[in-house]
Amino acid sequence: MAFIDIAGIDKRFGSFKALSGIELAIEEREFVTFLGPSGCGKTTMLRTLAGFLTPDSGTIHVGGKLLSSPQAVVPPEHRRMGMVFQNYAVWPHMSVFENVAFGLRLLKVEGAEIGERVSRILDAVGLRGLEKRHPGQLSGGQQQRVALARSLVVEPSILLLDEPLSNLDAKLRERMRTELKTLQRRTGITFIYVTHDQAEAMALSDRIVVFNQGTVQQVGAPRDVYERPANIFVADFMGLVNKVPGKLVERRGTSARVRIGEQTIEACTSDGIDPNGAIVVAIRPEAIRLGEAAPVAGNNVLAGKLVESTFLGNIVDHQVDVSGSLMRVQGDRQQAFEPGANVNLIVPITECVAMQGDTSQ
Amino acid sequence: MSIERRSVLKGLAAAGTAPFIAGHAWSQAAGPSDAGQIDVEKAKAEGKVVLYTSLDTQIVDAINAAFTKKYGIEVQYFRGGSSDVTGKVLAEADAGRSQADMVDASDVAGLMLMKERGLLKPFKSPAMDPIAKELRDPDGTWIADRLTQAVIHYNTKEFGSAPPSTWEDLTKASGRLVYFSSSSGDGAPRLYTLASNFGWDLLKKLAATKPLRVQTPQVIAQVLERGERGAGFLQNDNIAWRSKRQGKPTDYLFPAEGVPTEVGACGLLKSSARPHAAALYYEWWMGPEGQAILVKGGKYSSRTDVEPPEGSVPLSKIKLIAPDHVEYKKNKSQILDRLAATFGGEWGN
Amino acid sequence: MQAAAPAAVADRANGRSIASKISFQGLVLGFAVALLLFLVGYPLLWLFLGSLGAPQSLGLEHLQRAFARPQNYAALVNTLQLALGTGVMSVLIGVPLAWATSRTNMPLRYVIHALVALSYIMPPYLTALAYIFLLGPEAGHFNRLLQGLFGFESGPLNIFSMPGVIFVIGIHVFAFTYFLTYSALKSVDASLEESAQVLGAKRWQTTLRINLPLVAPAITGGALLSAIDSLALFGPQAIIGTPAQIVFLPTRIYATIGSYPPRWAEASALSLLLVFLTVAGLALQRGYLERRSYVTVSGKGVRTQLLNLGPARWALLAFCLTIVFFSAIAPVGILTLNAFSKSWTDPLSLSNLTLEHFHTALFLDQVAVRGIINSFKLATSAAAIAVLIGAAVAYLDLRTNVRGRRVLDYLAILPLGLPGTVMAVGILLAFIRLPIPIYGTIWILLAAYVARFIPLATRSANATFRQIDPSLEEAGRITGASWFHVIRRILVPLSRPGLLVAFLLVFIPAFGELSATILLYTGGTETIAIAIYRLNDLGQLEVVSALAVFTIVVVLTLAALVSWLSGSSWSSSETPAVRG
Ligand SMILES: Nc1ncnc2c1ncn2[C@@H]1O[C@H](COP(=O)(O)OP(=O)(O)OP(=O)(O)O)[C@@H](O)[C@H]1O
Ligand SMILES: [Mg+2]
Repeated sequence: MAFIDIAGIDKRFGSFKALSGIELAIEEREFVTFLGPSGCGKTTMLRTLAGFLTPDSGTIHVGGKLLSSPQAVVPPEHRRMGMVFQNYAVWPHMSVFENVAFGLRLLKVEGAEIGERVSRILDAVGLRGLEKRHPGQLSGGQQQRVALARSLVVEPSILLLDEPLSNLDAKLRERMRTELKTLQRRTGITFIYVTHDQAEAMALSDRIVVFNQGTVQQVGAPRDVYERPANIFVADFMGLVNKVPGKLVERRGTSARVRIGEQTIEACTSDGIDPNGAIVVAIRPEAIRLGEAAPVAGNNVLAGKLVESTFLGNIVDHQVDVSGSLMRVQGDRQQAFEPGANVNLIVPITECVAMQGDTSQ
Repeated sequence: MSIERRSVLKGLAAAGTAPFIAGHAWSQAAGPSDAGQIDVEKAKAEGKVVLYTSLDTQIVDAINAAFTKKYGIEVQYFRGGSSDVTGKVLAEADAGRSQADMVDASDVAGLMLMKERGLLKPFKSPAMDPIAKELRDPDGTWIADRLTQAVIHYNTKEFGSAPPSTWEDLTKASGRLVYFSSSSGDGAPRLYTLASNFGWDLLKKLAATKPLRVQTPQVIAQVLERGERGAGFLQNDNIAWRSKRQGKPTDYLFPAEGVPTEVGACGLLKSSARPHAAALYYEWWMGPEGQAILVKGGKYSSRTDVEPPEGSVPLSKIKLIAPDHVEYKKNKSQILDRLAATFGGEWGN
Repeated sequence: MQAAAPAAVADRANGRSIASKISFQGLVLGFAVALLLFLVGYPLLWLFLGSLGAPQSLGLEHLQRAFARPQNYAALVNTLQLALGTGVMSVLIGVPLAWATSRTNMPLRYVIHALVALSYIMPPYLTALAYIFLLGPEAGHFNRLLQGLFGFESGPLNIFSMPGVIFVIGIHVFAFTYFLTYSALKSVDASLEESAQVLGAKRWQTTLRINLPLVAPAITGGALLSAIDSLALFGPQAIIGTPAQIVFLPTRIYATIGSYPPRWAEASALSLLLVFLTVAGLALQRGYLERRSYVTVSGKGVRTQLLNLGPARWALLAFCLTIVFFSAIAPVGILTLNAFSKSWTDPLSLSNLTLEHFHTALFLDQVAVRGIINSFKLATSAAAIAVLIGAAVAYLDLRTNVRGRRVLDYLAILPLGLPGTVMAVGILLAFIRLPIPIYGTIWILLAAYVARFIPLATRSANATFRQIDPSLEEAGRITGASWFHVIRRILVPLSRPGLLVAFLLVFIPAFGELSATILLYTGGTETIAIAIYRLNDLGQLEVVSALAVFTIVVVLTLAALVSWLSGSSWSSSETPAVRG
């Protein structure tokens, strides 16, 4: 059994099903991110894990111990987890020191040791010297660090973080990202991190769990999830993607031949694909090169007609008509085409993922 | 007329001749200055009369109903404690906005003060002849309309046939007494009369029984009827009389050593905008008809030609103690302070 | 010719707008402002002058004398005791109630919440009256119940005592602490508690160390407001305190003016003392809350989690029901019962039921009938005038940059902190003499009501105008409508529901006003509160009950209307208005 074992979790709010059939195994020292659009159930899962919510079915084991089942839930105060909230939830009536020392006091740690451990952790999060301040006198980032320090100081084995960076501005967010990652590596605490920002998820995580409408869509390392999305939803959610409708011609193992208009390409595919259903080929815009060169082995070549190019600074965004469907290509600055020019789209076969579904999804 | 009655009158005579600031000319008052000048048609045209009174509302309502029935003139009244009534008349006069046409209060000192301020109008009427001279202002600005005796009122279930019959007896009924005085000191004059005749010590001993203080004499009766307290001191005789007649388990007595009496008096206001209606009402109020209704309500009339209330002891059989209004008026502030020191609470000073 | 035309149009438009500004805007606003100065500023000036002995003399000796007198000193001490007692009591009952209704899964939370609102809306002198029936030393129902149960010789509880006064006032004013704590607790995000919980804090530790300190400023503020309001409540102080021989500043002021000859200077001096206490309390509350308010951190949606109490929720409900039983159910119940009983001391039975008291109260008793008519007349006109002035002040504040508009705004809010007794003394002094001798007429009551309740109208109008984008009016002006037209056709229609609420917010307390009225009424201008007060003095308690029930029905109906109009719960329409 994994360190954290989530099995068959369902959670309903009235008649609304917020989580259904969640299966997940998380190893110790892992940095796992729950990723998904707003309202998909990430927070619900996290709070079920923390013991604030009772599952309607399923179990949660941590370190082999049953913590949650519909019959009994170990209350949050007995789980020895840490939690960082989206709104920081730093207690406004206590100083920075008091906030951080709170958990240690509950553990009946001695006064001198409290002082020591608090100042150590405040050093670690870069808050030295601010012990006496009250939260009202801190910036958002500083408050976030207080929240972090507060949960870390008690040395939990698991830290739950619910969109901890979403209230910070872009620059600070990036810096905190790095710090969080370093911190996790250094402490070896298992981080379970909730976000709806896929870039953040990829930057931080060992593994990403993509949620949608209360179900897990895919679990995998960031690169896997980005490059081999299990379905259109994941492909879409992880970043800009061309979804080209096509027809399955032939399938051999994990490779397939798909017809797009009059042209046929090679693509990767997973097992569960239905040959009679609608097929979409997902191609990331940055995976495509434009050119007239002859095909190279391992690449697909699609003929298209350039519709429009938009200069965006670091890249040029091209819209190309391929057999009646519009594809986006991110080309480099040097390459220029006139609208109406015939162009070839060169895509590595590994970058073409054929999957079930239609483009309306 | 008994000796006792005379002593009352003597006190009042002193009050009447007391020096006062008489800077105001009476003659400027509009409307009739004696009964003969009352024009009933004008009175009817004036339409209504406004009375400020401290008399029990049940009696006022009865007098007014009969008056309105006879003349078609409506009577509006303000009823409050005697201090309220006097206070309002004085304050309104300060504002130059007197509302009242006639004032009636069981506190002659108050009326004397009004006279001093030149607020009252002299009025002469032959119908007032049956009232002892001593019971009216020689200038005719006020006249006594009733005499209220301050009695011992008690619950018969509690005391049966052996009620406290002297003021001294009462001091033994610890925790069982009730008396009245509003926060502006309505009950003060009679307490003062009691003290000046039997000594402040008596009041101290009464206060030591921790008597319940209520705001009006009417409430004394209710408290006794319900048996919450056993005896009330300085209760208005008419209220005790009514309670008994209504078959409530109460009775009352006039202590033989002497009963403070309280003179209720009335007068017409100079500023009245309805002088004829006011004078007509005054005549009715003081006349045999009005006084008969007053007596029906249990009050003793100041008129010698009107019988005492049904079933009541005639005044001649009672040893009455006259209040010294002049003294009271002069030392009101100290007296009230002394009462406050004795009984506690608010006495309006 | 053609080129000149637009200029001419612009000129005309300019001319018209300037003219209309002077004629309408200036006139309407100026009139409202003058009225405000005259109704609030002028009496306050007189209060100050009066304490110096004006108009007879000017000097400090009256102030000195007033503060040297032991009677006044005793009244001050009693008043402070009362304030302290009610402040503490409001915390003891208001905080647990607020916690129960805001943070737990206790059943009937909304019922409890509404009943607390009822305890507050009910004129406090009616609560006091009700408690004479309930806790009168001998005949009071609770006392007789206790006698029956435990065989006491006499009723064990006596409402006519200092604890009695504190109790009766406390069950009215605790609503301040309740509502402030309630909304503070509602705005504590669950994550603040959960953060403590994941760190290992138990429920009670979280409640004690997180929730309680977080809402402490609200609790303190509520307790201070309760204490301040209790200072001003003449009704219960007189109805319970006077028979108990306990004098408070308002009843003392009443006695100094009610006895003859009235002692104006002393009354003014005591009024100033009362103002000082009130202002000091309000300043303390303001300063404290502003410096230490934690719970208004974010305007974002707050997530609160209700604590699952398990079976303990029934015990908590029992506690809450007990409180609201004493503060709302029992008083209203006993007054209703008495109003329909032939005699209140007789046991309840079919043969003891009657409508006679309502007949007396509504048709026969001269004072009662006049009181009802006067109260309706006064409350209606006071509300209309207050809304007019309030709207003008709010308009000046929000839509213009006229100089001194802040001072006006302040002046219009000021009476909120002034006890009715104090307002009445100021108004008496101001309007008993030339140039406006309206004492002894109904106009002085109107003046007092407008002055007392103008803050309610001003705040309500201010809130209403704030919600209307000024561009809507500007759009009107740009299309050529005059100022007056814009007001009539755009602003007034848009703010009608808000102004109606403002009207009712004045009407409700004005309808049952007692503390100022008692000093200002005369024969013919009695109000319903005066009828109740006077008939109570005379012991006609059944008729008093009928009048009380009538008042409660009117007040509650209108309060329900306010709540419906503003489409919100009680707590948001709650105002710390002093009344009674
Ligand atoms: N206590 C509750 N009662 C009813 N519905 C709830 C409750 N909590 C969450 N939900 C619903 O469950 C769904 C999942 O909520 P959850 O908070 O887990 O979403 P999320 O993925 O964290 O979204 P976000 O990114 O916006 O925070 C939402 O539709 C939400 O409205
Ligand atoms: Mg969430």
